[in-house]
Amino acid sequence: MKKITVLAILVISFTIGFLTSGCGKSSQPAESPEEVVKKFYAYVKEGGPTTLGEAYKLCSTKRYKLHEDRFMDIVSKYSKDMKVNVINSQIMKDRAVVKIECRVPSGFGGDYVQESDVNLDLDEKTNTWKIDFTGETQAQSKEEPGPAATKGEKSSSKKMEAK
Amino acid sequence: MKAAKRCSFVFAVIGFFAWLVLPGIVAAADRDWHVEETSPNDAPLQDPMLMYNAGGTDGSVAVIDIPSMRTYRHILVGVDLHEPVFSAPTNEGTKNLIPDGKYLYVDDKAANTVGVINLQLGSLERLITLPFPFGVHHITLGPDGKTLYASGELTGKMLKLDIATGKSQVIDWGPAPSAPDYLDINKKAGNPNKKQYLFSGNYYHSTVGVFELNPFKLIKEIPVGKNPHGTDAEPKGRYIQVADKLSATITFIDVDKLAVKKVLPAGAGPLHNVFDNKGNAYTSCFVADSVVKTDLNKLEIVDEYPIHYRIGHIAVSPDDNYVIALNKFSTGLFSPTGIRWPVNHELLDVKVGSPTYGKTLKIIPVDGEPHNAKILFAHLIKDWTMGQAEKGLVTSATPEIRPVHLGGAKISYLPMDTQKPGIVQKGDVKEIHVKAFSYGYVPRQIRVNKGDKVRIIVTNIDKASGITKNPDVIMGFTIYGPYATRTMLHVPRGVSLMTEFVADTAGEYEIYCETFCGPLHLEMRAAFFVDGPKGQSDFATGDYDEAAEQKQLGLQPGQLEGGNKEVVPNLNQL
Repeated sequence: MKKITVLAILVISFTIGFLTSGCGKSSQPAESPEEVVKKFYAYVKEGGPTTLGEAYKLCSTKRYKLHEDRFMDIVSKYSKDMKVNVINSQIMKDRAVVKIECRVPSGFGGDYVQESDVNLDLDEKTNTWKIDFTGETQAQSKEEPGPAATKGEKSSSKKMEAK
Repeated sequence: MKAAKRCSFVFAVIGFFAWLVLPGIVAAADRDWHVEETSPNDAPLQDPMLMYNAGGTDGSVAVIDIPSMRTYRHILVGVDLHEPVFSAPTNEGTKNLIPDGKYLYVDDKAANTVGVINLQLGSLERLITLPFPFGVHHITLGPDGKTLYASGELTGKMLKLDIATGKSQVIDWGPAPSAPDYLDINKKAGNPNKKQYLFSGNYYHSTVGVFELNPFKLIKEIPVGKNPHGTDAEPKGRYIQVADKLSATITFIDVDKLAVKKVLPAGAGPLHNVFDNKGNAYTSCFVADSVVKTDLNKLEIVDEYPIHYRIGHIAVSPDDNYVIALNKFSTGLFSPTGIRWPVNHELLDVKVGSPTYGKTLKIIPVDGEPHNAKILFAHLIKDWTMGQAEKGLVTSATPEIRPVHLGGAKISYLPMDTQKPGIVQKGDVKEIHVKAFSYGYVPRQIRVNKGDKVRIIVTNIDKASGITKNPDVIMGFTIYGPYATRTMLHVPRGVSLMTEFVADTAGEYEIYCETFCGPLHLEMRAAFFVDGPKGQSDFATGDYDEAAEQKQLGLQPGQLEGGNKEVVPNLNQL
């Protein structure tokens, strides 16, 4: 009897542990925010309607849905010489911010280097990170902090180039 | 019995015809407000009227057939066109005047010029630069047909221009802040003794200024509703009709008493007034999405017509049968054409008694961001295919000017700039991060030194549209005058635009939004100061003679007239 009880407890514990660890793994999106941003600018750089359509799918519609044609017109205006590097990222529950470095040729010679933050939303339906392309979550003042102004729960520092 | 049979027969006949006709009546009743044009649709017909429309940021004047609304062509003029005015022997008539068919004058807000289009040739014949600093917004024809009067919205000045010589007289209209806007001169309307004045709205003063024409001077300011916009003279010479944009009223100024005669409530956001020859006025109401009709004999609003969405300017045909709404947005109507959305012209039937009275007959997409439009009878333009050229249309050397349109600008699209607004020194480059929103810029003042390498990065930080806001709007950024062709950024949300140039001309040059973004679009302004060796720049200190040379337009020597060298203290002494 005791053996059966101990065995039952072990089986139940194992099952709970297995399920819990399984849930934990499935709550992490397959692609990190950095990877999504890197993929986005790689698509934008490659251009073409199909590829830009894939870039469009990486954009969040949680707060605003930009028309796809309008999106394509906007991103197709980027310079083909533009290079984007991911510097670091922060994840705050369902939001993330990826700091990027963008290089474009300057009219004064050399490159103009711009550092800016790309905000991302966690799409709970697909469990993927989506880019806030129109900046709905960008902070406009100290009273309205966005992800960039918040201390992150998790951060990483990498440098990846969208080739 | 016979009578009963006859009755039955009559009813049967009536019933038969009702069966034939009723479905049509029901169908007509079921129509919504947008009545589609019936055949012939694209037949090669000649229309009785031609509309000339200043196309804003496309720098062209569009020529459109009325009432078929087919666009014939575009006449390239400059950078940002606002007010077209036909040449005429006097300023009598409606807003279309009584044109002589010779010229169309059109002002360019970004370049600070007036283009003279030869209507018979259909090309730009002369380009007159206005003096600097000025910052023109609108023009109107003087009573002698030889002068133009202009409002200097960006500097608080008024100007009188001799069209033939390009000589001008400039007067200040203070105190600052002062923003002279739309202007017009009352008509004599057959009364030779009637005194004529120039009337101009001033949206910072919320007044209408009254100016003597000779000598040219401000004599009075009449308080009107908040933020006056269209300030227009009706054909019978009795009133100046003012569209009070923010108080949703129309103010009538008695021309003889120079005082307010009556104030009428209008639809929300009244912007512009036009008049027919029958004593009616039509006022565009931006927020109400309607055109309001006023009986000028009774000074009563007598009708209101719905329009598609967000009407700005308005035009009336010289046969009094049509009103054309120049709408600022085309939400849901046309295919997307890129970052710049298609705007549209909407043809309304205003002929009383017409089966389609008050209805929309046609809507067409148009280039640029149309500002004002004027219409003339098409017979005034000669048909060159009928041997008219040999009959003396060109009797002397007639130049055609082709300005280099927006050439040489170094513009880049960037991912959305998230840096704080302000000026930072990056090596030998002054980098300016600007945030643009409805309705303003941060920073509002930008100061650099002459010779500085300047990099301006503009970001549209408007949020998603709400109930009271417009659709997803573009923010514009133009520094008028010598920097107009190197800026003129159309910034959608989601990206930033960068321009780089050397600040080579000292002075104070106003920054304005060149892309319509809502009711307070005109008030979206800032200032760009370039300090030279003479010290801090302002309207008195700067390389304004150099600015008036308009080198950025790429013209050949002798192609540009007017400018600072032609400014005289009193134009009447010429």
